[in-house]
Amino acid sequence: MPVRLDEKTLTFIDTLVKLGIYSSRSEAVRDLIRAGAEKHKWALDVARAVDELFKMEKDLGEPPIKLNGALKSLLRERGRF
Amino acid sequence: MSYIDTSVIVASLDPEDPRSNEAKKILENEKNKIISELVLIELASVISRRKTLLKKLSDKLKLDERKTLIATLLYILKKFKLNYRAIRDPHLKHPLINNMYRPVTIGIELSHEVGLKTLDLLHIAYVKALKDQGEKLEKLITADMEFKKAEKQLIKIVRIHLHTVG
Repeated sequence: MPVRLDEKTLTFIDTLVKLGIYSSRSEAVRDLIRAGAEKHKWALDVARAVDELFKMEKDLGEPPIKLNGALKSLLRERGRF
Repeated sequence: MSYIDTSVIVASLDPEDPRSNEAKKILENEKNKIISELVLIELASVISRRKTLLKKLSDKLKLDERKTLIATLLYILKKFKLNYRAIRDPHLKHPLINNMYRPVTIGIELSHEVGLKTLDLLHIAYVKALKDQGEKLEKLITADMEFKKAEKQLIKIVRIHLHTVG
């Protein structure tokens, strides 16, 4: 999977390799991507929840989100300013 | 291509409202629906204040309420095939004030002619900003009858037609 990196990121990676933190560019990129993915792991939970909401809709035969009386409130709030 | 106002989405999820079915049909049948960040924040505000609903969903999804809110917003967007469009060039210099967020500058400039209250005015400003950046918006679909007051100006100045629900 070829990846194009900007100059600034590439210089940063080269610095890490030069400092001996990583033995090669590919090792550095692999590790940094892994760290980034770990940081954004919560996105997987949200994606799973979205799927679950669609399953709930299928089981219920209607959206699992009911906003009773919400339109009146929204329009009333908008009318205030 | 249509700009969908928050009121239509809320109406479709509000079974107590007489406009609910019509709003649902429009959201299901309309092609190329665009929303702005203003729609997202209004929706987030409506849903986040429904504490019982959010708690119930959060328990079912086994997710904290903050993430449940995001999941709910994404579900709504996906369900109705709503396409979020960001303001690409966010700053616009007002000739007399200074750099401001583009929709705000546009809103200030339009305020005298359209005479709408703040949030309605901001939606119009988003429509204009999105059109200016190339979105081919032809219709504003809303369940908020206040927009009717500015219908002629919307056609004349923003070149957008109004479609009201209910």
